Amino acid sequence: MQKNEVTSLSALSLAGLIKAKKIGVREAAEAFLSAAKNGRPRHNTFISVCEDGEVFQQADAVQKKLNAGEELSPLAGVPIALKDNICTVGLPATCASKMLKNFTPVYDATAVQRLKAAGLVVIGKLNMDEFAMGGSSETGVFGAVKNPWNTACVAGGSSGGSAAAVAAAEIPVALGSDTGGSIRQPCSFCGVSGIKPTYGAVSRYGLIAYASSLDQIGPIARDIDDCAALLHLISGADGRDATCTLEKPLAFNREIPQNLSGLKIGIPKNYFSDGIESDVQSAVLNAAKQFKAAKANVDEFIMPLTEYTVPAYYVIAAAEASSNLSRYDGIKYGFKSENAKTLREVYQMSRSEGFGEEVKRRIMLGSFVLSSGYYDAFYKKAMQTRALIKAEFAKLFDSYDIILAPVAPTTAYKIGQNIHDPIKMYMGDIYTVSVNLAGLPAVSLPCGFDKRAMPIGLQLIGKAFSEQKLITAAKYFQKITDWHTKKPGGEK
Amino acid sequence: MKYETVIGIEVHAELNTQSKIFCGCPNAFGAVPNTHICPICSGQPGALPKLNEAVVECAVRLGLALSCKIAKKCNFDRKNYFYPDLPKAYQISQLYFPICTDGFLEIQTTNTPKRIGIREIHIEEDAGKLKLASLGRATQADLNRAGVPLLEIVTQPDFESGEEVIAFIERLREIMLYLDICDCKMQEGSLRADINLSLKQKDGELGTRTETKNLNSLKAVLRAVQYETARQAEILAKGGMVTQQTRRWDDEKAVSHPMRSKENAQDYRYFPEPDLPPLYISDGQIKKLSKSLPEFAHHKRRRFTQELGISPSAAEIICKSKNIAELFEAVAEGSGNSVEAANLITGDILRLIGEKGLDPEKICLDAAKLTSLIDMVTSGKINRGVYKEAVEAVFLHDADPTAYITQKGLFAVCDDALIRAAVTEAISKNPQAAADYTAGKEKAFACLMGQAMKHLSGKADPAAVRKMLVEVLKENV
Amino acid sequence: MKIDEQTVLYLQELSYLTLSAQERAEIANSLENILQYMAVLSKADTKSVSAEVSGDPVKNALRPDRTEDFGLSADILKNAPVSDGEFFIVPKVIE
Repeated sequence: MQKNEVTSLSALSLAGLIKAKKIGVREAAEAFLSAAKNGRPRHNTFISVCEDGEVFQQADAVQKKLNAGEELSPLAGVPIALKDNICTVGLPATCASKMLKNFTPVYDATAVQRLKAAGLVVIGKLNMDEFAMGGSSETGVFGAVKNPWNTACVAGGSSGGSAAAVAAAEIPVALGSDTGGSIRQPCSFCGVSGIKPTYGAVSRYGLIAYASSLDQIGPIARDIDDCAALLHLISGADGRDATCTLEKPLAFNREIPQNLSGLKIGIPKNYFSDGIESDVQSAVLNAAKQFKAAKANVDEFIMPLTEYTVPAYYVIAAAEASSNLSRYDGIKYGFKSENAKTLREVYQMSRSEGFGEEVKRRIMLGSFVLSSGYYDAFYKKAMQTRALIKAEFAKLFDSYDIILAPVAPTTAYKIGQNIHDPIKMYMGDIYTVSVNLAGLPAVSLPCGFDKRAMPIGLQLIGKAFSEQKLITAAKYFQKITDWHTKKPGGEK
Repeated sequence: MKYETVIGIEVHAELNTQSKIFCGCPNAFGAVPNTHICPICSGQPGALPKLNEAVVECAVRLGLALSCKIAKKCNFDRKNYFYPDLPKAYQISQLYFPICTDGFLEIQTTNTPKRIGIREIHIEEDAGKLKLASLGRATQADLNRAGVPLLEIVTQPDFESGEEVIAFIERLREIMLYLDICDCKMQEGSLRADINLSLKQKDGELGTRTETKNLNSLKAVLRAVQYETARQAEILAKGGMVTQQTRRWDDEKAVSHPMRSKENAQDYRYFPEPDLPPLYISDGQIKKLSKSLPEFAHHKRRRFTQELGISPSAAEIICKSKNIAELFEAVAEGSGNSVEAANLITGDILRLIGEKGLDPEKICLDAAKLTSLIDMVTSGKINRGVYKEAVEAVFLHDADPTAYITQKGLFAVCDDALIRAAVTEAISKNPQAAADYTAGKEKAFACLMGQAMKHLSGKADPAAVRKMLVEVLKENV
Repeated sequence: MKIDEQTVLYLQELSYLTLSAQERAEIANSLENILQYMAVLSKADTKSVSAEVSGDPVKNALRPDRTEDFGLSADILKNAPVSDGEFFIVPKVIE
């Protein structure tokens, strides 16, 4: 098989061919290794690519097991790459930061352990916003990720490298992380599919923390089936994460229903007021029409508390981040300033030189909202608002099975355009952060293109642990549409 | 100006669980530096804490023992600050909703018992250890102790003197030893006390309080209280104001110095720990743990003095260790003679424990064997000297008393004829002593006694020998 | 709300960062804007919400008191920027 034929396959198809012995694991790995190395200079997707020898060793080990008749998983033999905030033994986990540029973790994240046990082959680590703080993958120390649909544009963030690599067929599946939209928004900007699981569905052990009560690891792929297959492998409690409450992995089944009759879908009509680009609005509303045509009950409602979601999110995320990032001290691991002489200097200079601007800004903001005198007005207030938002969603899911909404108010903008306007960046998260605040699952699907031929995404949001329902609806949507089959750069 | 001293204390107890509080690293003292560490307790990126269930049990049991309210739901909080012994740069502790509140512990330093209020008990993790490198230009950090579980016991400011503080700590230690949750060794650091002290005028307002840390013995606590009371009194006498600060005690020089501002006016930015869900304690769990509580020292002391009739001072000594108290009770019950049992325990048994440097909690003696020895000595079958020897044999070798005594032929000589013969022998071999005694020198009697006992190989009842000796000497006059 | 130089210096201290004068001015400005934007939170009606961390009574997430040897202590020490193979080394700490 030609390399570009291999790389155009979906992960499940590739796994099927591997199982049927039509392609070897090594052949598949070689194809994607080349794609990754070629794509790197073009899109700046990969921060590190495994050594060839390392990859082949993994591939051969998997092949051996398959030859011996072992049933590893429906994705056995498939190459995968991981966002660079996920710990991998032997491979750096840089978080796109100078602070961890030369840091190699001593243990594998639980998600990584499970992937390896399932026979996936790790090819490399993917670019992102520094410490996952950002919505464009521009703030990292390795430079901006370029959108494969238009390399002058951002790939979205913070899992920009993951979404772009999948879109550009440099990797069939990837893991990203979503704290305020960081899987869904880059998927939307890059025309690929992704899932932000329910908070507590996937172990965070080994995910380098940004905001502990909001972070989740999730899959990114070109279609929802691949995402669901990957989610099945990584979800479920592992004993190491006290917040991972889902006992058994989320089920993965390949059935697609005949229609969506009985499904109650709600659309927040106030998401479609000013701020949203008209093309985005049309694409999402057209998709709604298609769900209606599929016999789902589609209804409009007013989403309450929207003016509070972004502020509440940023207060909580900054607060947790300021604490989570205090461990970077130049003493135990990571970057240490050469100029530091006293203990104070080791701390302050290592941190000041090691962290980028956006990270420092959020740390200071976090310290502020937690400081005595401001804790009640900001942090405590934000947590209470969060409880309100959660309660409002619970009420909504009494009436609806799924909430259908846009992912972002715009499509991918030009690199450098918004980087000096933090508030504008934060506002771009308006549709995504409430989902993290409430700990809910959401699926991001391509649903069209704008006038500039840039992808548009929609999200399906459900109540806690209703991933199955979301995936089924998404599968149906991808059966009746072909947005997800489009590839950037006119490639087949 | 007459001031009253107002003291509150915070006691930190390192729990003796097998593993650390949030990870499976061994909770052990004295290991090679940085060998009991893992991604979690060394603060690696991406690592997460998971609470040790034994720590929760220890906290609830201590709370019950101190008559506290046990929270149905409590939370963990992060206390944020930077220090090289704190790997995550925050300590997971409990500020807003601790596991136990509103308890008390009774102490008695005067004729009336006094209740010291316990404001709270909370769970937290210990930090690592720092030490100065040999050339003195760097500091070495050892994270073995990072993540060791701690219970912090915070009292109300109910103490009025250093003596009361000592009494409290001793009572608290006793309880924790009985619960077997901490080995309570201040010198090793498994029990630490910080004192908060202020002075106030009678019926006046509370003064500014200072905190003193680094107290590694009860003596240090006493001296620190005295020092700080005097220091504050002197400031106030001169018309000055006491500065709120944290001070470090230097036991060698018997002074304290204000610590650097790290400890002062620190904004710890406490917020609920997002990596740990709330902790729920059910009524069922509380009931179960309640039932498993041992009878504590103060109850035992009361029972031993009131029901078994031993002296308060003997009860005090016996009840210091739960194991020893239980041994005493078994022997007292078995022999029906609690005074003898008390004397045995407070005498030979504790002496042997001390001599061999053993841990009273760890020794294992057969109460039935000791009981039989008491029976034998009180019935005259063996004399006191043999009794003492046999006790030692049981202690050191778990000897069977009857077998031991029989083998060595140590049964008391009761035959009057034999005793008379021995006494007569002693007198005839020591005529000068006999004469001295008859002339009124009482001391000479002891010499004759010794000789007579020697002739009997030490096996007779000294009282019987004494009686015979007196009789025979009278006859000879 | 106004973020002045003093506040920025204080936040620097809390966060253990040292910013240049220019960086401080920039951060003061952006923090001011951000906080102004977030001040809208004060309008949220949270009277009905309890002060406690929200949490549904789920089974406690506890681990048994057992030791586990990760076998990683040497690797962990190796990642330290300055170590003598036994300890993490920092400049002298003054009590």
